[in-house]
Amino acid sequence: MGIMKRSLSIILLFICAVASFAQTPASSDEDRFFRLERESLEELLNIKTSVASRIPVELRRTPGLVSVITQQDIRYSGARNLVDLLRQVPAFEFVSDVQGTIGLGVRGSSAIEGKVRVILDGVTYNEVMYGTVQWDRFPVDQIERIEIIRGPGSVIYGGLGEMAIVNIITKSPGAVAGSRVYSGYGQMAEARGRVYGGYQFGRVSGDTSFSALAHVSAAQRSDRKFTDFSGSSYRMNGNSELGSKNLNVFLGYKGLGLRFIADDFRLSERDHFDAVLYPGAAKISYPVYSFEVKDSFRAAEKLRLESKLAFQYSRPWHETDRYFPYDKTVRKYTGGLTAFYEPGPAAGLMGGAEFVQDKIAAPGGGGARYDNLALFAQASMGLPAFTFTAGSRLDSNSNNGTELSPRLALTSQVNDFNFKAIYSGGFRAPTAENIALNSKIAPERTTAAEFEAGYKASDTLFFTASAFDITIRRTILYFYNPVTYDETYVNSSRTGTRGGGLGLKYSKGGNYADLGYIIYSAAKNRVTHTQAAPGSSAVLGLPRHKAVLNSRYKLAEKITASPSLIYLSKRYGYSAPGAIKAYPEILQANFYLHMQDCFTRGLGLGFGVYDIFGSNHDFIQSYKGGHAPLPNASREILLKADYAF
Amino acid sequence: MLFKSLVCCAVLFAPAGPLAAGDTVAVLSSASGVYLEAFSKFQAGSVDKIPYFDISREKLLLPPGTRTVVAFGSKAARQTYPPAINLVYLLAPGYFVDWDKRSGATVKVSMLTPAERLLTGLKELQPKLKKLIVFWRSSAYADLLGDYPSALTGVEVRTVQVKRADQLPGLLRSVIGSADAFWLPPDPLLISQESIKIFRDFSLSNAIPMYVSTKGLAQKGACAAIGVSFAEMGAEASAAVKKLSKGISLPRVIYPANSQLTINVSAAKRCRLSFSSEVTAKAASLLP
Repeated sequence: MGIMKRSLSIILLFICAVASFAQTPASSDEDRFFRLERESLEELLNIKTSVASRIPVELRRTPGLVSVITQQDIRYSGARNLVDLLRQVPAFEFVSDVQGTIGLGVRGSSAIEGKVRVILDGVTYNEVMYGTVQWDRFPVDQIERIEIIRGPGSVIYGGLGEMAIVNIITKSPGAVAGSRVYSGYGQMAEARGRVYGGYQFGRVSGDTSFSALAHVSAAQRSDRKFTDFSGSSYRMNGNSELGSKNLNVFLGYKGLGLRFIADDFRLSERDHFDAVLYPGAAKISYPVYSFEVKDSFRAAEKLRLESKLAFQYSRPWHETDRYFPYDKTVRKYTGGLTAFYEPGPAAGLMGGAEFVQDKIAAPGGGGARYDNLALFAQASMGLPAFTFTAGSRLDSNSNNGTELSPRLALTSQVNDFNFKAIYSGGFRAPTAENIALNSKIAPERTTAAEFEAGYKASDTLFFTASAFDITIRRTILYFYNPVTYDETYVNSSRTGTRGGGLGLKYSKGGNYADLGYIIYSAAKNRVTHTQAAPGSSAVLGLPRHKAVLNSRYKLAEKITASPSLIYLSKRYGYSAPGAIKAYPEILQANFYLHMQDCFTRGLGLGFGVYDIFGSNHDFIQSYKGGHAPLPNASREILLKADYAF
Repeated sequence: MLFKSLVCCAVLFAPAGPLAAGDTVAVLSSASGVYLEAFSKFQAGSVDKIPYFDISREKLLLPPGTRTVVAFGSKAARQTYPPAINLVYLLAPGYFVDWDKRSGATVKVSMLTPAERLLTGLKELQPKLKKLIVFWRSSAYADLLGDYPSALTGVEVRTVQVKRADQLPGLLRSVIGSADAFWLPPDPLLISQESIKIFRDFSLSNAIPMYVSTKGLAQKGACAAIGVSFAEMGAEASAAVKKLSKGISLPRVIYPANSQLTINVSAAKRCRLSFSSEVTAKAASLLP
């Protein structure tokens, strides 16, 4: 309770500090005029997102509970990686999986495999074999914006979008407009945390645009000690490497866009499935090469067509050493056509088809092929009091059969109030290895009811409150037998969570604070492998209460300080085979100082300290998998520099 | 300045006249600063006392029988008004009311000086001006001046979009090329204290004249401003309301007839501009 009180005190102090900073007056009537008009226009334009509907809609009206992390948020937060950024979303928290990897939990439900679809510039990053995402591979300095649906997105995104969508958009040629180089160095308590660098180039000339984004990084998960349930341990320095090489090239002409992405992510690990590996670390790579052609053209004044052809080659979990050799290649072919019809400002219709073929090859045979054809449509209509949206997606899979994902949404915005009520269904399609290990595995199904209300108390203050009720049936569950080393997937019992959240945003004169809180109860969970205890409201690995504070203070014209806090209530996890314990609540504090145009125009410098109080945060496994908590980084000091020219 | 403020206060605090059917109501985004300056001029041009709402402080409740609303600022213009009443709005750069949804007259008093008058004015200030870059950020300014035939004034105009403030330094270096000068429209998404400083520093250090559209921006280091004064816009709105009350139809956008020239002598000197006595005589304000 002490830590709870301390965190609340710190949060209140931050809010007071923001409020006091915001009192700085503008310098003239005209300054005030342009500022007021800018705020008015920005409010009017608002941040629009197409992640929930594929048609750009204002956040307060979009038919989904959506969060957007802007380039400005990323730049001033000093986030070291995507994990840092997504941990700032109260509904998300990371848990440990196996082999040095981590996975996402969403609103109290584990979503490690195939439940959260991650898209970068239109390319799906869930690997085909298990549906996992390598969260440490994404270079945050290349990201322009992240759009997040904190709820089912299957109606648009199919079988990988059961619980959430993370849509990452990198910098466009116009956003780069020239060249930019950047680099960073992070030092943990006992070892180097990371070193990275990148180059960005972008140019727009008439209807033609071109960009090239390159990034190289060598990081480590942690420098702390990992101890398995048998008491074996090792120092993670040198044994938890996270290496990434990334090239993202885009060429656009009018509505036509060609994109090539080469992304080679590698990690080393000794934590493995349960027991520490000896004598050294296993090395696993996840290369992905994608090529996409996309065209958008206006067939009529109110009708726009978007076509897409894509090819992706990947080799997930590729390991050639003796620990867990794995060598499967996946060729993914995607084709799609979507039509957008907007008869008026208050109505919109979207529909289309998408075909995906996954061809899996393994040395010595044992390949597989899965085809998925999806038909989808969504219509929205603005009525005087509210906007009604109805949509559905039908997925026909060569192995999994047919799945229907519906969505009904009412959104309303009256003066300073807005309200959303959403009912949606989603599913988690069994992935290739799920099917290979259990040919009878069936899709997991989710239904969700979500509500959100927002109130704009003033031009600077905005409150939100939300509630959700998620039920998952036929839960796909992973089993691993540490004696026989057998693994399999089965459809288990019902699970799900209920809960709610609160949010407060404050923004004025360059100062900003965003306070978010979420609570969940998993009382409906009947999957014993994920329960903290029979009938418990908590799920393994995920805190029932999470609060996040992001803030930004403009200390001087070119200097911005960004303190942030993450509070996690106690979490439950295995501490030994068959023994579950409560891990204490923690408060993580980070601080980042950004200076723009230092010494010369275009030069930005950053200095950050992460986990200031040394909370020693661990990722806890969210199921009975025999894996001890995986240590996160210790206190880390980061220096960053970027130069635009 | 003090006198102006006193006049504005006197206008605001004078008791509002009774609202008769067909009366006009003013809605202010904020009853301060330039909104107040324009409103006081608007009020001065009206025979009747015009009641007003400051929507930064109070909720807007239009009195029954209101026929015309005059909105000062885009926030005021964005309020939901009955479609049948007339709406005159000003001080809303970058914003246009969707007139398709309205049956009453919808008239915008523009902050802009018409293209020909602006380019001719710039040419007088800088006779050797041949290539002018116009930066913009709000889509409302995307085509501004860009399609104006250069043959008419001898000035070739190129418009350049600024997507984000932090790309400005790089963008300025890459696009300015052989431009002789650049002009900043009164685009609220483009103009901030930070961006103006970047533009000014670039202008002065490279001796490429910066032109703006308000006196206040000229004071911040532009060589000159050609634009409509806030008071003039208030007067124009007053004239528009009178015409509407007489049943005269008006275009959707009206441009005030009088523009005001402000010259910043020291900035012009840094950009190696010298003005003839005829030009300086036209200036409403000469900033040292």
